[in-house]
Amino acid sequence: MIDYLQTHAITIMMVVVLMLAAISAMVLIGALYSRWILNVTKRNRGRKKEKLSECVIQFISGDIEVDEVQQIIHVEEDYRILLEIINDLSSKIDGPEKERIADLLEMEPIKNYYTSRFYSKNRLEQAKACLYFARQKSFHYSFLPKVLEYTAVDYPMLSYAAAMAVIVHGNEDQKRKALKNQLLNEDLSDQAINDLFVEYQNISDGELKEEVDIIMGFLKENSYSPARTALLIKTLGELNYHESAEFLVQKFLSIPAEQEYPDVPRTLINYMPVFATSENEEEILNRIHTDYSVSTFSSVREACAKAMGMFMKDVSKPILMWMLYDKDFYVRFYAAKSLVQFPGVELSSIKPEDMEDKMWNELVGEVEMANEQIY
Amino acid sequence: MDLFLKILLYINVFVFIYFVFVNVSYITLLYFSYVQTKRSRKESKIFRLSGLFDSRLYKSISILAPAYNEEESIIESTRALLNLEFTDYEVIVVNDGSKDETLAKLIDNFKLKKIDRYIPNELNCEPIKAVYGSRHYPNLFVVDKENGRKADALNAGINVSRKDLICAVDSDTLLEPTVLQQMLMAFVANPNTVAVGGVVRVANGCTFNLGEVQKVNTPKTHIARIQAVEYLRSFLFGRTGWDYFDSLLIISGAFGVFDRESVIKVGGYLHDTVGEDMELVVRLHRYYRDRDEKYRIRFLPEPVCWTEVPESWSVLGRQRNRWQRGLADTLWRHRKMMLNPKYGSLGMLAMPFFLMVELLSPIIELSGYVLLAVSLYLGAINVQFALLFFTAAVLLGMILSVLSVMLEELTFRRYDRMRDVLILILYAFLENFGYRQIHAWWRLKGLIDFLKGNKSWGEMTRSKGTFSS
Repeated sequence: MIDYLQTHAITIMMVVVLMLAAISAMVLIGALYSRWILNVTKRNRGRKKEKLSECVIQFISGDIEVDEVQQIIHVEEDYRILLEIINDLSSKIDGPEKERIADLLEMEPIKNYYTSRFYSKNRLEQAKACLYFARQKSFHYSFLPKVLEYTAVDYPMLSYAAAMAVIVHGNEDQKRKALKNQLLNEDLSDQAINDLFVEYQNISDGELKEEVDIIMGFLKENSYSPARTALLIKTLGELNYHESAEFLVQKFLSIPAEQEYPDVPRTLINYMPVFATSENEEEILNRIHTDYSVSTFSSVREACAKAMGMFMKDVSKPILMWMLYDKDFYVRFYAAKSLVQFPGVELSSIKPEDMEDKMWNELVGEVEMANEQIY
Repeated sequence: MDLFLKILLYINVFVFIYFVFVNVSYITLLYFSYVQTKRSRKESKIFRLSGLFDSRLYKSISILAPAYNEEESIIESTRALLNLEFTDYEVIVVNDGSKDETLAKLIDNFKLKKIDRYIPNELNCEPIKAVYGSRHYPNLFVVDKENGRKADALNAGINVSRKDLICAVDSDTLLEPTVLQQMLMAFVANPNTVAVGGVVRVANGCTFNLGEVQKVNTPKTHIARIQAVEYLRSFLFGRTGWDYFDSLLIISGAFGVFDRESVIKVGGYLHDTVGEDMELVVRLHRYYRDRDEKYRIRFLPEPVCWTEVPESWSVLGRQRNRWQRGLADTLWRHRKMMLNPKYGSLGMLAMPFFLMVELLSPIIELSGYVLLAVSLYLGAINVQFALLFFTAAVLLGMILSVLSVMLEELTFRRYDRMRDVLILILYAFLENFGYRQIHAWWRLKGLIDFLKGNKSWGEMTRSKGTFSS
């Protein structure tokens, strides 16, 4: 073999070079040809897009119907362009116009295209089909069991997309199940779950009650990780709905003082000043003072210092003064910031005697800046 | 003499085998990068970030822009950073002891005033002299510190930052407006993501207006055109390909987003290296793999930032010398990972590749040229064979470069005109004559400098106002 290679080295090399030269020529011609083709396609596409855009705008205005739009669509590429226009416009318009543009998604070829994707073996394609279903008005309910099944898969993109479709088309139980699957999926980020809640709210026409109920239901189950539970509390807190007030307060009052993770108490404390009433205020403050202002987690102590400033009760003052000695800067900062909210309390009057000047100046600077809202 | 000729022959055979190995690796990488690019593009359309501008439940970002003697471009680049389309972010410009008017210009233009901001000492850095803030730009902070080089400035920026993610950028780069949203997608798609890199493209020759790219053109100078081809090759098929194998070793210092806590956990940027960007990424890999913790380091081919590349041979030479030293330093520091199955494809595939193909290639390539000449002179190899081999090398190099240009054509198509594509193809061919050899020489020198313990940064000069309208 070696002898053969040695004897024929030049011939072999010549063949290799010729092959490479041929490939180079092909690649070169290919690059130029592809650019030419792309340019031609771009031009044609541009023209087609212009025409279709006009057509879609006429459709939105009610001047023409779906069939008339369909008449100017001839090849698969036209549908892609149409989808692009729909996607683009959907993000810019709202209300009845958005509703109307969704009718275009019901065109048979578009439906068939996504149906075939839904049944493909590729999870990403299935996810894209589910996202299409989520945008459809006349969703074919025979797909729903399978979509619901997909909400439980580990692949986060598919489970997310499927949950999105279920939120739009499913009944309350199905929605709950789909969301629950997402909450249990550790490979899905909090941010993605937040997206689902945003969608949930959108389809409820801004009515918060359904969303509040579903989140409270999840929280009552007590079966999610501390991070997920905190996310649920945060989402509920952000909704700022009166019916969740009592629930969150009771949740806060009932959790054990000793927690393995800071997420849940910290998040609950953050919302207590918003949801407390004159009846339960004292009890809440009592827990903050006795159980949480001494927490081993600095983020929990920080939340306490913040909350005490919002409650602004004299009873908190000594605790806040004591928190000025905390080892964590942010606890000291929020304690100082809260203290200066109290009438008659000046920053200069609360300086702990043994605090270094540099440390104190830093604290004062931050509090002053926060009050000036320089951030 | 016979023995010498025999040794020469064996060395030539080794060079030949090496050549085949390198090119097969590149072709494989190119194939997987194509697959990965397609996949990434599809994935990027799944998550919606529907509540991004309404709620504070998404991750926030601190942009860190170290600046050293950047008076010419600092105002424009800072303004561009302040105009990004993102809801919760802050811009922290770190003036790393500039000797020019960088700080004064910033203070004057953005009406900055000194503020007392608490700076936790989470990462070591040179003393911070002052932090400036502005009522007019509430999300802009300027840190004035003693000079300590880029890694030190970034560590100072991390200490000052208060957001979930940090985005390290060079002050001579320009981010596209939606880039942070695109980068955030990686953190939305996978909660275990700790770092994401994006594409860096050559800004020279392009037209910019109000911090946005208006027209993408190929650069005007030969040296920048060659670099445009290099950047396409490096980002579109190098890094994307490694992302496929979940073994990305480099996130460019010019543009990368990191989970702040993770960076602090591993100790931040290393001071005594000139390859701090690569070193940090490898350290993150090592940290998580050592602890068997779930993590992901990604490269996304869609988010783009534009950077000004050197247009002088001496500056480019210094830059490549530094990159080579950085690579050598990182591979040496983390040699434990090399061919260690514990680190999976990273230890078994990516690190050996970087050692053999990226680090040692200048030695092998340049020795190849010398030995070829000696062998020809002594008649150890056939002239015809040598010429054919050289032709094959040039052709293969060109095919790979043209394919990366084609990959750009088939996917992102930033270069709009046929003329630009022709220029890129031409330079993919021309770089093999002269530039490739000089480049190998710079890298060899970098390797020698590394062995000598040289850790200097080398002076970089910027052209004036690449991003001006």
